[in-house]
Formats: sequence, structure tokens, C-alpha cells
Amino acid sequence: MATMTARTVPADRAAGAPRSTRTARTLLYGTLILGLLATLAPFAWMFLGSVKPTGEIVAHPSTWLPDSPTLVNFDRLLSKQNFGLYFFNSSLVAMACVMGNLLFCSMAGYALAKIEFAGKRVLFSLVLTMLIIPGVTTFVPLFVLVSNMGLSNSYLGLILPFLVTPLGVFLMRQFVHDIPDSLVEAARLDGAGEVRTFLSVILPLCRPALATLAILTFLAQWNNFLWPLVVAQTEEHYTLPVALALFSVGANGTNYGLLLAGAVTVVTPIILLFLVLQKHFIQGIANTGIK
Amino acid sequence: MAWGFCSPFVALFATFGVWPVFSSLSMSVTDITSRDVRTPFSVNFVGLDNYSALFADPTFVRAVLNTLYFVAVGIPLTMVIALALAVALNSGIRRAKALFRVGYFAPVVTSIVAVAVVWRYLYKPDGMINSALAAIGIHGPDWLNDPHWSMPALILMAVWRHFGIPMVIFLAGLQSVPAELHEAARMDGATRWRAFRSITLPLLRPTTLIVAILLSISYLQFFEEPFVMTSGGPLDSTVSISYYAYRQFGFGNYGLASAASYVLVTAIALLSFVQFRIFRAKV
Amino acid sequence: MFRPQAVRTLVVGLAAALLLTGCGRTDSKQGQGSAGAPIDSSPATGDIAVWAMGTEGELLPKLAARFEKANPDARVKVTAVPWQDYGKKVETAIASGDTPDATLVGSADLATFATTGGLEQVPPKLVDDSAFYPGAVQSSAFEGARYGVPWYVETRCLFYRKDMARAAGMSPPKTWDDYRPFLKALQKEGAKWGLSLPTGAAQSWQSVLPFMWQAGARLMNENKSEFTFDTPEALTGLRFYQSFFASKTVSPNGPVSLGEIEPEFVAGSTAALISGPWEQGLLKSAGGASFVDDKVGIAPLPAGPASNASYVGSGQWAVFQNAENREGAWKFIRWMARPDSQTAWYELSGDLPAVQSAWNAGKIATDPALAVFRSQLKTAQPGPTAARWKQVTAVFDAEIEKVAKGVSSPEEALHRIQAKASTIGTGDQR
Repeated sequence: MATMTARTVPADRAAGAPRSTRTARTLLYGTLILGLLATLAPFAWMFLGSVKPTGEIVAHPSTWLPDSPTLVNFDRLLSKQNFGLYFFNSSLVAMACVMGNLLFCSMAGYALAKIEFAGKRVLFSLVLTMLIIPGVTTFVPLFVLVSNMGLSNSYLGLILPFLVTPLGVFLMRQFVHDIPDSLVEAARLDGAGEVRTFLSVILPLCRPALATLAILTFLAQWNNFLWPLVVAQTEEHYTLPVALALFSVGANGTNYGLLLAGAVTVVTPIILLFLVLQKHFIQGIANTGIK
Repeated sequence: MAWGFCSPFVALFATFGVWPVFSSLSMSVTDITSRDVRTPFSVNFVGLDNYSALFADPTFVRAVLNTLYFVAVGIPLTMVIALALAVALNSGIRRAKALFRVGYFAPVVTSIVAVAVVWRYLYKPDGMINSALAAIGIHGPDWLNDPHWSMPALILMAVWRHFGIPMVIFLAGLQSVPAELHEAARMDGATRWRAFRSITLPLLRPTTLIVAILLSISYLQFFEEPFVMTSGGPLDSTVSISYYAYRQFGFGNYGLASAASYVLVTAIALLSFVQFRIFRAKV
Repeated sequence: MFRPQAVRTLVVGLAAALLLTGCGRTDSKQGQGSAGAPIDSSPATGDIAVWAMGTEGELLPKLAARFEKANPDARVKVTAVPWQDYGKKVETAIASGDTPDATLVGSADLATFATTGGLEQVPPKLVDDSAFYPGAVQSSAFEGARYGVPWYVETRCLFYRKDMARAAGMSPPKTWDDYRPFLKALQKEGAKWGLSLPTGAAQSWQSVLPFMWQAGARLMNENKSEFTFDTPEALTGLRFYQSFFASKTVSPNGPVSLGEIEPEFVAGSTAALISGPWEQGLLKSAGGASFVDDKVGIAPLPAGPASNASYVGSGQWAVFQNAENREGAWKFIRWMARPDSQTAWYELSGDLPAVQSAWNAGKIATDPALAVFRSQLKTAQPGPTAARWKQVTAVFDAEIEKVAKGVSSPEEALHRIQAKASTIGTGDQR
């Protein structure tokens, strides 16, 4: 299996494509483009809405293009004095959780997949069980715990509960499991200890899984609302979603302009992250020559 | 040694994962309400009363049926769309692959609150979806106000929000399917469809398993769409188990709410188990 | 691969759960927050940590600065909290004991928080109850004790398209009987719907209870131990609510989310709505300032057989049991309930003062729109204050939806509301 390092080649690229294939491909492109437009339509509405005055966003019937484009929403949002701080908090929490998940989950995933030890099956089944417990269930006890540890209103309180996730361990374990034992054994024969094997053999091979985990973790933490809302007791620890809710959602009305501008602000970094990581995210598996 | 690798994970996991679950599991067999939060140990043990109370509540039964409806339609639909797109992007086209990939993935990263505003406009009786339908001669329903159409509307929105990740996972899986196998099959005279069915699909089975499990976990926890779009209405047609539990937490009925969550956990466990059976059986 | 282990894990978990919960309930009233010592009149000292939501949270520091000037040894630390899910934040804070000193609370949530035992009762003689609007004081009382000091109030009046009514030669309705001709006339002027009413979305009860009150219904018995929905008066009210849908003057698919109705009102497809003082601001951003000046009329709610009672909501200040500086917090709250502080807050925020005498001076005394709200406030009522009221409202909203959509009759709906409300109970412990 490990020898199959063939690069994927689109099936009919080699030979000159006959006409029927070309028609089919044109059709395919058409469908894909239509689908893409439909998929991006709500998205476009959001970006276009963020540069409309509120009256125009809610206007009836609604329009796509802004009549009088304005940056007033962004201006009002960014002029909130602590905006930079909220952005920093969100980044710090999300990046810390990404780092924690990448390191700790891959370590545990490696042990669960490639080392025999007592309690392994119990641990893995616990992970699987926890994977399916919805967050709303454990919310109150978790907060009581964090608060009793004196961690409410601190970065640690925001980060620690999400520093490892069962999903992360599950993904890493599945991925490492599929790495051929022969590679691990070869490294061990060369005299490498478990740590060396992990660092120099396993981790490099795990790049695609790590990229997947990084994106999923970043996404979840970057958009997390309820936990930071409850844990942050003062505004110094607010993250972006909490701050956006503060500015845009009132008791009796919503400021749609601010809301959409906020959404654009929150979404853009993730799109950029995906653009940067997508190569690893998607292509890695084929290059590692496994499966 | 192995525990050395596991210890950071185990320490954090036991503290912030397992312990709160034990607490909430114990809440589900007591009559704890928000009255008791300051004295959580002086509550009464009620056995499985919360669980029987749940199934005696017609709203909860409705929530279970709604959740099943959502899962039964949503998961296959999402998987088919994700796989079709993955195949098209992997071998169907050459140009602008990255553009399509990022474009189709974009819905995954949008925040639900902003997206809700947009989708509510799309679903208005005279909104963009119905205008599009009218163009081909179909008179669209009042999506969010019609108890028969509210769930399909939320399913469509959920599929839109979720197909990106399975698509990318399928893409990764497809790239590990060696092209030679495919070409060999084509040489032997197999049609594209046959080659896909007899070579690609079986090789994708582990990927499909992961996708199916990830989707079941998130779809059974169906919550955000009714929360931001319909508040469970009209006429309870979009109340899900998670949403029901959330409401009970809001009422301060912590025992009942926890019990509802564990009904959900059981459902997820059962479904995952079945999927393991189906997809692992032939490997 | 995970069957037997998962089962074993669950069993072990259950066993642990049983051990943990073998304690049993004591007979003491753990829900009740106790009344603390009276508050003296010396200046406040120390840090006072408070939570305030949304715009109130953003603006409060400006008001607090004046308090600090009068109490130089005190510092008010305001944390602005989003309105969205703030209840969860307050409840989890109480559960962990990790709270600030005081918080702003929406009146509909006060009983829910008070049941946890996490709030302190208002100390004796802190403020003069008769100074506030009675409806606001009513909603601060729970199980015979008081947990909140009213800060600002809101009530619901009739907003209508002045221009369309003028064109139709109609003046706003004064009684229930005037509703239909008025709404029909507006519909003749081009409106699809004469009026907008909520039809089951969250908080619909705030708009439907007034119809019952206007017919003379009381929704709890004298000693507040039971809900009483199954009365002829409540039925009259609910039948009247239903008549709007039968006469096609109100859409059976009312607004589900905030901000949905304003554009329709601006476009003229819905010609009237019932809303609170914030509506002017929302209409201004949806239709522009000139729209509000030229086309929006505000009138008191039309009267039913008994009254024209409306719903009153209020922002209230509550102090936590775990407050580190309860003296300072109560002193700050007492200061905010002074008429001059109330006027100052109105000027900062536009929130209507809960103290009646604060309405006698300045712009607030002369504004014609505010005069309508002022007269409406005199008779406005809050919803029942009971521990489980919130849970009853969910039942109420669900049944209301069936009436609006013609799925069930007002009689059936009331029977079901009564039956379920009796099962749920008030949840009060007295």
C-alpha cells in the first residue's frame, strides 16, 4: 500500500477528449457555476447589505445592490473603542485552542492508534461517548466547575475547556490508525523512541488531518458565543461574537446594518484562513501515499 | 509511555469533559430546578420519572419525530450533494478548481445570525426563492409560516450550511483513489458510472463512515436553524429535541432538560452504531 | 469496537450519579433570598460592580459618573452585557456564586431569577413604592417579597399610519367597537392588513393578555396560588383577539422575528401595530425621520368592556446574594431611583422614567407622543409574577397560535391553557 504514490490524474486528461466529452464538460461547468451562484447568493446579500444603511436593508421589497452605498456600519462598528481588543481576544482564544488541539489530540490519537496499553479501549470508548454529548447538556455544571476553579473572567477560563476535544482525538486516532504499521516499525527498528517516532514520522504524515482539525477548531472557537458570554465577566475578555451581539441586538430591535457589518468582519478572517490552508486540507491525503 | 502521550489530553478531558457529563447525568434522575442551583445536593432522586414525563409530553414526542424527519432527509441529501460536488471538482473539471472549492465551502464559515437574516428574506412569500420558482411557473408556499413547508425550508438551509465540510473530506478521500485503477477499469470497457460504483465508492467507504458519523452528530443536535428562524413554529413543526431541551433549561427545569439531552445522546449512539455496522461490515 | 465499553461507561456513570444524589430535599425554602439589613444614608464607598444590558450598558457609565461625583469614595464598574441570552449569563452566575454586585433585569425575568435564591430582597424603606408606576412595582414583587427596584418602564400603544387614516377620514379607535371600521377603512386605503398582531411567536402573550385584561379578566386568584385562565372575561378577550383574523383585518401569520414588521408598516402594507416607545427609533431607521413626523400617529389602546389596560414592562435593578458590596450597590440603586437621576437618564437614553414625578419637568413633560405613553402607563399591568410563569407563557403562545391560525376555538384554547397551567403550577413556595 505504501508504494502507491501515484499522483491523481483526471481520468480523461491523457487522451484528447472526444467531442461528446467536451459537451458534457461544458454542461458540467454550467451546472457548477449555477450551483456556485446559488450557494453564494446569501453570502453576497450579506456583503452587499453591510454597505447599505439600515433602512435599505429592511426595505420591502428588498434589493441586491445598494442604492446609496455607505461605510457607516463599519465606521460605527470599528469606532467602538475596544474593537481591537475584542479582535485580539477572539484570535488569542481561537489560536490557543487550535494549538492545544493539534498537539494534545495528535499525541493522544497516536497513543490510541499505535501503542498497546492498559485502559486504551476504555479511554477510546469514553472519547466516542463524549463525542455525542450536546454542549447544552453540560453547560451549567461546566460553568460551576470553571468558576470554582477561580477561572471565570480569565483567558484560561475561555480556553481550557476547549483545549482538547473528543472530536480532535477521534479524527487524529482514525487518521494515525490508517498509517501503515510498517512505517512506525521501521522507525522503531532504526532506534527511534516513541517521542522521536511521533515527531519525525507520525506528525509530518498527519499534515492533512492536522489542517482539518485546525480549521474545525478555529471555526468552532471563532464563532463560539454562549461560553464567552457567560465566562467573561467584564468587557476586557469579550470576544468578537459577544461584542457584536452587544452592539447590534437590542431588547426590542436589531440593528441590521451593524449586524451584517459585524458578520462580514467575523467571517473574513476564516475565509482567509481557509484560503491559506486549503491545499493541506484537501491534497495532503493523496501525497502521503496511504489508504 | 502511552499514558505519557495521553496525559495532557486525559487530564483536560476528565476535568472539563467527563466530570460535567456525570453531573448532568445525575441531574437527569433528580427533580433539580433553578431553585436548587445554590444547594444542588438537597434535591430528590426521582429515578426515571423525568424520562417518562418526557414521553408523556406531546411536544417532546413531536420534537423526536421532527428530529428524525430532519435527520432522515438531511443526512442523505447532504452526503449526495457533497459527494457529487467532490467528484465533479476532483475529476470533472480542470479550470478554477480552487475557486469552486472555496466558493462551495464558504457557507460553512458564515455566522448563523447573519445568515438567518438573509434566509428569512429569501423565504418570504414574495422573496427571492419564490420569485425564482415563479419564473418557472411554480407558485411557491409561504415557507416559514406553513407547517408543511417550514421543515423542508430549514432542511434546505441546513444542507446549504453543512455540505462544505463533507465535500472537502470526500475530496481528500477521492484524491487517495489511485487514478490507475480507474483507467484500468475504463480500458476494460467499464462505463464511467460502473467504474465509479465498483471502484471509487468501495474505496471511499472509510471516508463515508467519518462523514456519516460527523453529520449524524451535528444533525441530530439540530438546534440553530429553529432557534434563529422559527422558534420551533409554526405549530411546533420545527421543534427539535435540542431545542426542546434548551427551552426546558430556560424554564429552569434542569432535571427534565438533562433527561431530554440524554434521550438525544442515546439516539446519536444508536445511529452511530448502525453506521459502524453498515460501513465497516464489508471492509 | 465501542459497544461493551460504552455501555459499561454509562453504567458506571449512572452509579456515580446515584451516589451523588442520595441526599434528598430539606424542608427549608431554599428558593427565598433573604432580606438584608437596612441601608443607611451615608455616602457609598468601594467598588460597585454592575451588569447592564445593551444600550443601557453602553450609556450607564455616563450616569454613574454623576453618582461618583456625589460619592467620591465609590467607583461604579459597569459591564455592558448583550441582551441576547443574558438570562443564561445571570443564571449561571448565580449557580456558581460568581456574581457582580447588582444587575439590570427585564421585569419578565425577575421572578425566574428570584426563584434561584440568588437575589437579595430589597431592604426595608430603601425606596418609596408609591413614587413608581404601580405596574412596575407589581412586577418586582414575588412570593410576597420584593426583589427589584424599577428603573425605567415601557408600555404598548397603538401606532397607525396617520396619513392613511386622514385620507380615510378616520380618527384612531377609542373602543373595541371602533377597531373594525377603522382597520377596514385603512385597508380600503391600500393596506393589505389593517393591524399587525403577534400570532404565537415568542412573547405573543404580552400582546394578547391585554385583550383579556380589557375584558376584565384576572389571570391569578386573590392569593396568587393558582392561574385562572378559564373565566368568561378571559374568553371574551380571546374571542375578540380571534375576531381580527375572522374579519381578515389582521394576518394569521404575524411577525416571527424582530424587525420584520417595520418595513411593511413603512411600505403601507400593514397600517397599524401595537408597540412600545422604542418603536419610534425603529421606524426612524426603517423609514427616515420625516416618515415618523408625517405619517406615524400614536394613540392609547382602545378600551374593552372593562378598561384599556396595556402591558407594562420595566427595567429593574436587583442585587445578588453574593454581592461583595451590597451597601454600595443598594445606595447606587437608591440614587438612580431619585427623580433628578431619572430625568437625567431619560435625557441620556430615552428610557421612560419609572418614577412618576420625573415626568413633570423638561422635554418629557411636553412631548405629545410621550403624553400618550404616560396616560397608558397609569393602567398598564405586568404579566403574573410566578416562578413558573415563563413556562406557562410557552403554553400560552402555542395555544394562541392555534387560535390565530383557526386550528382551535378560543374555548378549547383556554381549557388547554388552564389545564396545562394547573399542571405546571405557579412554582411558588409559600
